[in-house]
Amino acid sequence: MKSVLSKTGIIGIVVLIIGLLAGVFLVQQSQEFREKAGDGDQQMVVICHRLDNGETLWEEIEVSEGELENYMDQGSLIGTCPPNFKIRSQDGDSAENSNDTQGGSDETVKLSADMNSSGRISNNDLIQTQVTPTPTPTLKPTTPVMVVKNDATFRFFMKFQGINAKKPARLIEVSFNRSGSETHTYKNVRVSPNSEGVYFGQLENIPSGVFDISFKTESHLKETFKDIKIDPGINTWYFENNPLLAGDFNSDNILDVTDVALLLSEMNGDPMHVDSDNEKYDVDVNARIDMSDLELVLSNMTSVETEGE
Amino acid sequence: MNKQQIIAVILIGLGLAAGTVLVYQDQKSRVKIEKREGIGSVHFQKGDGFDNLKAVDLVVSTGDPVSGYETSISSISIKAKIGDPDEEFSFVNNLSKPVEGIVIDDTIEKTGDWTFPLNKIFKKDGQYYLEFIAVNTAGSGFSSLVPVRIGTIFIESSVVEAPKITIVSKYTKMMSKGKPVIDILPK
Repeated sequence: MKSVLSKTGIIGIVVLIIGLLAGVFLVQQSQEFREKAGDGDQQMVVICHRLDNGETLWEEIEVSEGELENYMDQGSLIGTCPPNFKIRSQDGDSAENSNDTQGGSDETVKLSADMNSSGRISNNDLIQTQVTPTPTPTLKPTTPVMVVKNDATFRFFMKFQGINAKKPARLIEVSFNRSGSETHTYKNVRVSPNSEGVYFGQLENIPSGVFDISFKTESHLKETFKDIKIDPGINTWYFENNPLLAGDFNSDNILDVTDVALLLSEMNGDPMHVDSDNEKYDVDVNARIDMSDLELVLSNMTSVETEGE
Repeated sequence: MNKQQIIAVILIGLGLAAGTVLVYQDQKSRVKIEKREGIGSVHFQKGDGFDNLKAVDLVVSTGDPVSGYETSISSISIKAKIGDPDEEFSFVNNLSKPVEGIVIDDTIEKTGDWTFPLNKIFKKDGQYYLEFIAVNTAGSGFSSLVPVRIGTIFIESSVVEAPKITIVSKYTKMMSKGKPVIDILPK
């Protein structure tokens, strides 16, 4: 009887071990699937693609984030094609783009930046597409009426200190200020980088006007760009020459020794592995919290308290 | 009560005992953390000058010699006024060459554990100020029960006494190494 029981026991142990191994194998497989799914989880981006056919023809297409860089290198623009661009129609003919953002009146387009021969707009140029409708006679209302239209799209390019390569997309806060007071704020705005670490973001259906626009993350000082004109239609602005400065880890928009101490509390001599709890301290996003992160933060300490703009 | 019930009761008892011990330990560490506040010290004291060269040492400590309790720190920031408004000074090193900050102590420099991202003396509205940040990058941080000289301000002056140096407490902090990160200077 005893020997039968021990035999059963041995079989039980073997079954348990097999079960354990199978469990480990399944978890590993599941992890692989997740990683693969993550790779494929790229957002589609609308671009105005330049067709290389002798005359400058454009086409609005959707491409994945991964393909974006190739298209940009060919002179394509992110977003829908600006008005007056020659667009290839679906049957292959070309036609002037007549994006009607103002209700059918004639439009003129001002591009305040130079395009090079490839049709690519230089990163350092300031580009703003402005649609100016032809004035038409209107009846004066008997009582003043104020209509706020959220008819603008704000596209922007920006950088974060210490990032010069393609990294994962991140979330930022974008706030619009007028005369010193905040008019509207957008939290968790997703920005995605290209291979040079220039991040692209877009806000749709926002009010037009002239604003001071600020960018902020949970680990960077606020950076404000003054007098940004947002017109109805598409507005593209380039801010990458002023990267957001790293180090505001307690989000008080002041860089001081408290922030340095918070970073050092994550460093115990050896480079620290990054997880969701401490990823904000990985300033250069190299999957390690180490001296390179500290050096970036310390390079911003020009005073005992450095305040964000 | 059968055998299984007895085992269950014993397990519950063990769990309770373990829980009590853990809560007690957590409480103890909280008390220890609270103790660290106010335990640090930053001050300026007369150093070894000669002839017309006046010296003022910056010294720090991170513990209480009476209780023997000390804590590790990661960084220090200091803002201080030097002298009175409209007083004129020349800041130099120990070889009388002009400098614009504290001259870091050789012993501190040689450890290789310290870096000084900010170390400047400047004049604003007729008043001289010092702004200084010291960061210790050692894995365990820095701790000392006795005052340690971090550096010295050398001032060339024919006046008998070295100028008074007044710490601006709002901007002067000594940050602990471990979590939670706190300022251990007395408030």
